[in-house]
Amino acid sequence: MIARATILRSPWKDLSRQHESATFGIWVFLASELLFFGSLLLLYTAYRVANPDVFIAAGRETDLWYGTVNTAVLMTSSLTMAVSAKAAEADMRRLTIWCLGATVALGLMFLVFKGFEYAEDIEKNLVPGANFALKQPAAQIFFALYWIMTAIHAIHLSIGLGLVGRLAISGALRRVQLRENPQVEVTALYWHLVDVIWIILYPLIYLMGRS
Amino acid sequence: MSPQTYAIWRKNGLVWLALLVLLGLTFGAAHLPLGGFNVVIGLAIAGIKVTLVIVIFMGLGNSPSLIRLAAAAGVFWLTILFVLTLTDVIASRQSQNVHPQMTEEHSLSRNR
Amino acid sequence: MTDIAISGELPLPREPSYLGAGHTVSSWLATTDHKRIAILYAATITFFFFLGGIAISLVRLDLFTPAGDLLSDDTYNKLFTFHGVVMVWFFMVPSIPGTFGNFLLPLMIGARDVAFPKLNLFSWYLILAGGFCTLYALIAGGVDTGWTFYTPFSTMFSNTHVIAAALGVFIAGFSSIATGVNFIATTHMLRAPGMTWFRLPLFVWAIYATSLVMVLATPVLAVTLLLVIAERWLHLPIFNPDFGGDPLLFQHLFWFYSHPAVYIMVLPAMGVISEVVTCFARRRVFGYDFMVYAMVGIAVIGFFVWGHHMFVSGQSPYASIVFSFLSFIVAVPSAIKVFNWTATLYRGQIGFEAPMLYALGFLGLFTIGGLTGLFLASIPIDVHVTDTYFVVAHFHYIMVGGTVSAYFAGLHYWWPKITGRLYPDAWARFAAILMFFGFNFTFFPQFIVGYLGMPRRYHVYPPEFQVYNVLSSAGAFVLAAAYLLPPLYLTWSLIWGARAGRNPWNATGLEWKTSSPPPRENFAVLPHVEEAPYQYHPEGVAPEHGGENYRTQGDQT
Repeated sequence: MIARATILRSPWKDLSRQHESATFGIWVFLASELLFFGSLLLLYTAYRVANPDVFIAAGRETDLWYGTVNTAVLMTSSLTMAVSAKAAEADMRRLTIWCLGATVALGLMFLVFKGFEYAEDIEKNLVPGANFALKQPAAQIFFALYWIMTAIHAIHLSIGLGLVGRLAISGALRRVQLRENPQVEVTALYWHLVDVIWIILYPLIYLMGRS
Repeated sequence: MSPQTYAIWRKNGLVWLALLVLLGLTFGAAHLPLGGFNVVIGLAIAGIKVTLVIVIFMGLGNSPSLIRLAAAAGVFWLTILFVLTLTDVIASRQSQNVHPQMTEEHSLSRNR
Repeated sequence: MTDIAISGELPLPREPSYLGAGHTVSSWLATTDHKRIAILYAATITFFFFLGGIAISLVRLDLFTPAGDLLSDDTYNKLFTFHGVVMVWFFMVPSIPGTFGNFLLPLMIGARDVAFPKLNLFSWYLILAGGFCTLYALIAGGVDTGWTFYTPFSTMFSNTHVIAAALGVFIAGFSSIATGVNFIATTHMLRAPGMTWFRLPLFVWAIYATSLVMVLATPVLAVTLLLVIAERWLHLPIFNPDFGGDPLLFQHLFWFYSHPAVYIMVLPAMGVISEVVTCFARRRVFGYDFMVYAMVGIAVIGFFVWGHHMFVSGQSPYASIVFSFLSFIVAVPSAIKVFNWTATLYRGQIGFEAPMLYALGFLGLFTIGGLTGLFLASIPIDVHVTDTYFVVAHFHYIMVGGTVSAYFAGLHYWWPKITGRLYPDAWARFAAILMFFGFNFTFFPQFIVGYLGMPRRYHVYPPEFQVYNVLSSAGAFVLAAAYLLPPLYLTWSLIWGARAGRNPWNATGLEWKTSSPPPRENFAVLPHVEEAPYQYHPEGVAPEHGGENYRTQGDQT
């Protein structure tokens, strides 16, 4: 007999109510994440308003190809995550687990490309400091924000990978039931947030000064 | 592929295709010499992509109103943060333009 | 103590109380019972309260004399910084939500626990982790930036352990966010049948409004502290003027959180006061609906006023005017609440047990604090008194005179419910009165000396200010003595106090319908709510005129 952890937890008497509550809870958390990243975007906006030409010139130095490919990768991972969540609802276990796995793979791909991109940025002296490549001081602020925003995004993505991966493994090993499991929806919503943030960061980091 | 599987892939796949097309569009538009308008287009397209992800992938289109309220609250408060702070940023720059300074950096330098 | 169910009341549970359900260390440290988590929080915040108190005692000791002769300048700076950081983030913010919010929210709405019990435990561990980080910063030598971490001093020039302290607060911030998410979901999703939104006790509304603020404001603080750490540790220029950075942007981001944070600190206190005033005046609350709207209004409008901390920082006059106007507006809902509490007292049968003494103290002290806030909202006055002791007195009247009084009011009101014991009321009343006098002696002179021009955060001051400083420091030691009393008699009550019945105050509210202390599952039978809260007397008939004795002596069995 394969043991399955019960997904109904105290204080809930009703799984659908627990599910509703988990979904509501994660959306409230996502609202807080909006303010979290929003603060960084505010800084970016304020500094851009103050230094438009410098920001555009600095923006030209980011690697458009890495950025664009990574955006496509992440959006695709959102697709697989969305399919996985719908499949879980429809009790299609194998599809759910394959898509969770695909999401992890695409997320890892993102991180690998990001790693290569970071290595290239370091070589091009785009780390603010003594050897910084551009001479205008405000360009260092652009890149400080670049490093911080992408790093924080990458940390969120890694946490997401942990959540998705854990679900994929527990589901594959039949340790937990995926159908009607609130954790699937919570994980999916968190993952989509990671995608949404990147979609907003993409034009701000990669599309400046290309014309 | 069962009809159910097909239906799931179809709906979400269409959104994904739309996202890729929009990505291509924004990539292309960035190369056009539109001056200040480039940023507007870039953010507008990003806005459409974000809306697609939120409404369809995240299911906000079908969610109970309580959840939409939570999402709207986040947006509302972020707007407050932006509007009131940028009021100060822009007002400072305007007063700085009236009294231009000799510094090279067009920073938000105040009372220097 | 009998278990006989009084007719019309819920049957009393027969299982052991939550205190008896498990005696091992891990049954406490791995608990998911909201009541035990509340006790864990209580122990933690009490510890930090006394640490923060020791720090400021040293400061006030130094301030007895105009010369900085007790402490070096650096040590002085580190002590007031430690006091601020610890008191704000490790006492004030988590105190009432973490202790009474955790303990009472499920009980008051008729639930068995919060929505996410494991997340609740995790919140506590986050506060603990943040606390350890901050303590490390202290032990390693301290931080001297002030609790506000202003740049560019914190990022570029301070030689102290800013990163550790900022990291500690960052971690504690996530405790806040997690608690907020939990309480919001709990309130929406776990109310008992019949418990509609407008039948909720005002304490629940207060916790709900506070949770909204915690969830929406704290992330901005988290980012701000992260940026300070990044700038200091990785030398990434964000607020550095040499690169075009703007220190004022730090202040915008910092105060976007820190102003709503003061509402995180005061809204739960207002909730406690509503519970205590109604019970000890034997009165229905005056204007329940407006009390609710006022609390939600404070939570919302509180987000629009942060620039009033920046009137002299170089903020544009245009923005300053907007913030000043909005700061006047935000006082209105608070005033409505004070009027309504006063009207609640009117024609009541007022008892002066310890909780009520603290609540009455709150009403006066919060009003003074709030009115002086209006002075500060006015730009011309603020330019004169900013960064003086006037500001220090203002916020201590609200934080200490207000929130700490409310915390003690709640502690004494719910102590029988939480512990099942009665404390000696004579000692409690004595402590309350001593606290009131000590508090006023400490902080009232600060209004005067601040207005006369003594800056805050200085330990050297002109000799003509000494009389006020001596009064203030003397008062501080009276206050400290008063704070030492409750731990003594409350601990005494745990061992030798009389056992409390189900409802020793004869109060309304679902928490009083279960045993003292409650069982692990809160209620033997989940309640079904049929009436509005605070049914202390029939509508339209004030207790004063009722003829009946509505006094609080509930069942002592």
